[in-house]
Amino acid sequence: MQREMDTTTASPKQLLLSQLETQPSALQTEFPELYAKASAALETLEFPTTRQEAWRYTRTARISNEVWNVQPSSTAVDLSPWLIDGLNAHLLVFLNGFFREDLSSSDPINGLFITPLHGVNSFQRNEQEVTMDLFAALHEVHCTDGLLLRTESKIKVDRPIHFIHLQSGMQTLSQPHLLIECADQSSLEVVLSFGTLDGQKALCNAVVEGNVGANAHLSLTCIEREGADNALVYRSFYQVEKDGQLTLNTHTTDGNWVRNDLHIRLNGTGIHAQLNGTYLPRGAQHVDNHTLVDHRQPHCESNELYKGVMSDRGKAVFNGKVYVRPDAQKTNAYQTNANIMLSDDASVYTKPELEIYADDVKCSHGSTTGQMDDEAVFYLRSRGLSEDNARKLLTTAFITDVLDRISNEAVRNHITALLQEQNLLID
Amino acid sequence: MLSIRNLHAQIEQNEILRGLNLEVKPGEIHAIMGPNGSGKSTLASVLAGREEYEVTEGKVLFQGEDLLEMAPEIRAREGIFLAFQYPVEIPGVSNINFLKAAVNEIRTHRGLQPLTAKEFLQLVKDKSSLVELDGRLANRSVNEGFSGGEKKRNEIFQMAMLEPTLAILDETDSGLDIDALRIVANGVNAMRSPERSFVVITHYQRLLDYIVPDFVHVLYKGRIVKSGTKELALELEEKGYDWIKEEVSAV
Repeated sequence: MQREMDTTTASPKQLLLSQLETQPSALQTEFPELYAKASAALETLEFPTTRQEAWRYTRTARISNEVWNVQPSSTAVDLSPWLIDGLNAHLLVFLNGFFREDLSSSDPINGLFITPLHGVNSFQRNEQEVTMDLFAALHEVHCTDGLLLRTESKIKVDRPIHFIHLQSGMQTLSQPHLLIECADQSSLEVVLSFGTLDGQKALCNAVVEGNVGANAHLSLTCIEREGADNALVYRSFYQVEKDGQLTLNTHTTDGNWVRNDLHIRLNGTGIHAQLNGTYLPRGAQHVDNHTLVDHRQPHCESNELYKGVMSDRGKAVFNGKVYVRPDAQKTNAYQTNANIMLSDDASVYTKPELEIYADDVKCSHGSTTGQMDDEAVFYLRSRGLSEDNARKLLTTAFITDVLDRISNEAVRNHITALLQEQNLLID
Repeated sequence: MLSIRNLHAQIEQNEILRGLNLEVKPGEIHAIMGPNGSGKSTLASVLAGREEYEVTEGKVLFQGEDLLEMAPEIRAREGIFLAFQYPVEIPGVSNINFLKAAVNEIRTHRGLQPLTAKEFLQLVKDKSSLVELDGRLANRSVNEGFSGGEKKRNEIFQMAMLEPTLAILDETDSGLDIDALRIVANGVNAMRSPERSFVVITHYQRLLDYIVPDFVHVLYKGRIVKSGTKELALELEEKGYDWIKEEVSAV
């Protein structure tokens, strides 16, 4: 039953919650303490504003001014636009935040267990130093559905897992949750695709949590291709143990309003973490990438490369924080963020942050923002390339090193093709 | 082929070209010499379509068409090639990919089918040997990390690939040692044909020992003040430009 509300005095958050009362959380029974904490927080939290540092350049008005509903759907889906040629992946398909078993692969995979969120309470949820904001609390209290992927130790899972999340219908709110547990010395590759079926206004507030065991490898590539009216909040938290390897590729190819938060905690020694990303906001698109790498132990390396190309009135935010704790001696931490602005109305706010409390470390960060080199454009045009193709060729050259870090060729080709279709890269 | 009439051009309100006239017929090689600041590179830039230069007066016809109305890429597709004085380094763009795009855009413009991968690679092989360009350079990023000589050879290699009807060489010889100069000149000479013309802008007579021009022009204060044959270049080499300047100021 919906509560009667005085919509003239209710806050956007209250309006939002009034629509969600009947949506129980898929996380509640397994993780009651986190649920209780989030429920309490939800009482007082409102939509973040630009007065909060983590939201300084990202306004939430495009979300808070709308009414959102949970809408399970059993509609037929043509998956072909979302599949990746040559990947031969095991498919896990979600629609509007709910697992669609009928659309997913059902054959067993050697060394991997895939289960719903029942009996998963042994999963070490993150208790990271993340401020519980409205999106986090909302997700915990009204999580629509989720899955746990758990590898068997010492097994390299030989098929990639392709998690596809799609939305359809007007004002849909989806809150899927993915838990990934890579047991010691196992190896797993996951690809996430976020998108829309019908281009109607929708909001996806997704969370992925990964625990990477000792000497285990996890590679996760997130392909964000929401529609022109869609918003995506993508939160992911990782804990990596001794000698673990984590690669996160986050590529935003489309979407009206996108906020990514990646938090990585390096709990052991000898860990190698790599974070790569691209964003190419155009029209009135807004893409915000926040990353945090927390070095807690010695002899770890983190390497981060993000590149952005802003055109039209596109706006991007990059905030990359690297935290090197007192015990994390011999840390190597590198971070690069480079941006190109293709129009006078585009903007980017970039802020690399290094906080170092150890004295024997190698850390660097660099942030550059520039325009396209006019001399290079002229040079290419003087050889017969159209101005458009000259710009596309230079854009391709600019972001190609980030795409090259996607080790799976099928995935790399897929993302490249998506950007070519959007007329952003040269064929 | 090329007809420049009373060309005036300026950059940031400074008039550089002040009534330049030049006629180039098919198959001819014209050398343009002149002291620093006389307008040589401005002429090359205006012909290639650099937007910083504003043409305030005059006309340029290329094969009877108004060249100044064409965008830089249209000029290239119509058959004009500018070898840059300072070739641009473009990290991340491979020479090969860029040339493939260029060759095929030009072919499409001329109503020809795009080259197949095999045809294209054969063309690269033939033309890179013309300027003794190491095959590895062809696969590297455009001009990135190339020596001065390699950059200039790469310009001539691109010219050979694009087969222009009018090539403008803007101080292609500057900074080259004799060996590199000979290679560049051989590349140009191999491309000489009754249909193809060259405008060779240079500071040094030395180049003209290797690329023998039909005409030599002296550009001074934005105009061609003296024209002759290759002997004029030798005279300039010997006597410098002062006598030309005196002649001009005496008028």
